[in-house]
Amino acid sequence: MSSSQKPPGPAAPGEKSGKPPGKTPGKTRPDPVRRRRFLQRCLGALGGIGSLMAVYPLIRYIEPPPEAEGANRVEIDRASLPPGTSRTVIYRGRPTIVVNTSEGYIAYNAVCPHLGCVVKWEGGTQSLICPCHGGIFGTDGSVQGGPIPGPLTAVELSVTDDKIIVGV
Amino acid sequence: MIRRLSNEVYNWLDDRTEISVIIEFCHRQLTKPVPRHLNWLFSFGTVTLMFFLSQAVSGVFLMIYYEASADTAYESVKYIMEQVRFGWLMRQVHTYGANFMIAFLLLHSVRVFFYGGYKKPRELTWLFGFGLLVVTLAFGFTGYLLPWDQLSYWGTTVGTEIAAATPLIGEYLLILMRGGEIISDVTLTRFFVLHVVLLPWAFIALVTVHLVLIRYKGISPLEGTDVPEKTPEELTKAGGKPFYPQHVMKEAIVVLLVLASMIFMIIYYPLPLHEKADPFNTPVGVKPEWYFLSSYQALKYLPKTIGIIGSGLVVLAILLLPFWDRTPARTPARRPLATSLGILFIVLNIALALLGKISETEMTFMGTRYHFDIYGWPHAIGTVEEPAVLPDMGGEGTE
Amino acid sequence: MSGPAAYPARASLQARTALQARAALFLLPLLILSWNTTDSAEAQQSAATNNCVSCHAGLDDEDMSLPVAEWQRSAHLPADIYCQDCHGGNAATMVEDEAHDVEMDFVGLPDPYVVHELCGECHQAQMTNYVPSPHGLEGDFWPNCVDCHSNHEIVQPQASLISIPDNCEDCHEQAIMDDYIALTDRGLEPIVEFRQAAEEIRSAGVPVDLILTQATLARDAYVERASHVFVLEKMVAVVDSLEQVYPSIRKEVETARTEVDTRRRFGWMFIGLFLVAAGVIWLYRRSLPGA
Repeated sequence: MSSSQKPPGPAAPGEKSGKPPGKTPGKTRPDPVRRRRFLQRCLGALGGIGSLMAVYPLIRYIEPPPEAEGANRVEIDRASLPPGTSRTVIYRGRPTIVVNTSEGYIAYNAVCPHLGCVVKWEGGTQSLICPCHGGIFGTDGSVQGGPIPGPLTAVELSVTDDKIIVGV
Repeated sequence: MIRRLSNEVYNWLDDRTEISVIIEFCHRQLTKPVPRHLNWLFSFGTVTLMFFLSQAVSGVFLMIYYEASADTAYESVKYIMEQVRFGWLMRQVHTYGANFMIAFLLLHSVRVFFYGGYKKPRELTWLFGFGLLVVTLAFGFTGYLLPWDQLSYWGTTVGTEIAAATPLIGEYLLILMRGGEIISDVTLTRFFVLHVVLLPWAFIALVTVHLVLIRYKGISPLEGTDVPEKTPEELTKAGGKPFYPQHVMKEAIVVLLVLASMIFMIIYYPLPLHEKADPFNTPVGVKPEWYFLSSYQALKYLPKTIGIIGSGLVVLAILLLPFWDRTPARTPARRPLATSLGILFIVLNIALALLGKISETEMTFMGTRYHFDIYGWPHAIGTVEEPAVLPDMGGEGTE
Repeated sequence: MSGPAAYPARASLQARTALQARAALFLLPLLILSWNTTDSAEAQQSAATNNCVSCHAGLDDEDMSLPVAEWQRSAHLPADIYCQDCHGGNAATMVEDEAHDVEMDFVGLPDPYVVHELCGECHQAQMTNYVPSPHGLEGDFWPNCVDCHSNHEIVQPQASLISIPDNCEDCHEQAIMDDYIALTDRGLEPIVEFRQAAEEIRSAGVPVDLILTQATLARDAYVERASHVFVLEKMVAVVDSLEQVYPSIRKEVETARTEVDTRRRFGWMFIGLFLVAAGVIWLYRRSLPGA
């Protein structure tokens, strides 16, 4: 470890920081008060840069980590979802409802646009209902009742011989 | 403008809390002079304290993703290191920080010993410092298990096994520590609780008293205990400098250099996460961490009970050092017996640790391959050429 | 390897041994493909309790003791393959007659025609490819496994095994051998390169599981389809298909390398900052009154 990486010479106190010093004393004896004030400012600046550099990884650390590969794709066995039933899965971090309706499979982001409750499938009325404030959605996602500001968002869905795949 | 506003706030606070008294008190303590002989060696304690803070911060951040259960602990650490942004940095800072903290704490203790800093009237400072050493080693021991990889699992197994040698209550103690016959999920959770709840608060309490005592009694002088200590005024007259800023600056430089070297180690020699712990598969040559290696090795040479009682007595002797070493002299040269005993003790520990390090390994030396047994003694196991150079079986062969 | 010339029907034992000897002599550490990292200390300990080893190692007759020394240098020791795995007999006894009991399948010198079956117990893919190859049934099992790989001092496969000067040339033209080597290098060297890169990157703390998995898949594909087939055309097809996947692995390696560099650069920024700050503090301290 090189503690001597900086020669202690009295000349040019600002050489390392690259900050413009107020006025650097040349060959004459430096004015200690002015010199101290300058070095204090340098330290302040370095401290500022340092804390920013330290805070950056901390903020990035608590951000949601990037999903591992394959997480933006959910597979469901067709056998496990008989006609008229529904299943709610987590897709891209959001609850997503998959329904086997009489007209085929549908998938919606299950978060109600009203106040964020999770909708349920009701086989009897062939509709998706929100348990919080009585919102009702049709199988096409449109609003059919309740204080709902907009329709449900559809989620990409594909079907193979034995699997339902949410996402791409 | 800002100055007037801050004055307002200050006055408002002062009216309600008498903050000026506190500030005045702190200022007096901070600028109290320290003796001239304070050199760079006197910053190891601060370095240790800085590492405690760094461990606290990185530890809290690691806890955000860490899951303390045998099923998930390993995966969550792997997740931190591989998925979470800067997770690698956080774990490396914590793991390396632990090693650095213990290393500097040991250096600090050695420095205090040789400068006679534990002598009257600073016996209490030593006792609390000893408590901090115990707590820090406990931090290391409990934290080592948490990643739940092969090394940590089996290192903890042999480590806890030492407790079983305690006379009468050994077995009970072992079961108590492990929460069962073997290291399991139960062990992990209790180690976790110790590591993140009990030990931090114990450390904070002890270090507060330790620091207050140091500030209150001042830095130990070089003169013997038979000479009355200087008052702050006398110290200043004798060339003593204020603690702040002179000595604090010195400590800041050391802290920065140590941090820089830790970052260097992190980016060039990151500590790996090994395979997941497997309770049914003991790897060859299991050893505890380096700071427990010398006592672990010493116990190999002695019968179990004698070993544990012996090391217990050594620990007790260190704890009670200020009460049986009552000679007045402080500087190493004036107390040759204590100095040589101290050096002997350190050399012995390093030697034991090295023996522990090479035990149960193999090494090629001057063309002969040696196997070091559990005691660290070499046994020649034949002359083996370097694997890169292929043997000339062409000449003799099996013809 | 097209149109092998007339093989010597059965080489004498002497010639075989000479061939092994030269094979070993010219081995170059080119293609280190077996990645077994079993702890040798562990193997050493069990080797010490193997009675074949403990008895034979001390025999005065070099023909009887040398195999032990050779085996101890081989890749079979760390892989826990012992004498009895090929020679049969009873390794648990120290009584000479019992140890070499033919009832316990003891064979001193295995029949050259069944050597591939012994090796094939573990090296199945290699045997499957070898038997129908020009060197197998067609070539009257000449050369067999030990002719090229040696018998006791079996080391990890090397490209140089393919062309043993003065030997393959007895039957094959050098030009063909050169093609053969070039092809092997083309197929396997990238895998070696990926693995070395992966180890290097792993030691820098960046995960490389994906790279290693893909490299292992490629290696397995090579071993299963190209190794020991001894027909150049078949090998070309395999290597060509492998070369389709190499660019994506290479890209993976590059990404990981970049990550290592990024981390180091980030670390150096901190180191630089700390050092500069330490320097400034030092200057500040010197400028304090009475310094």
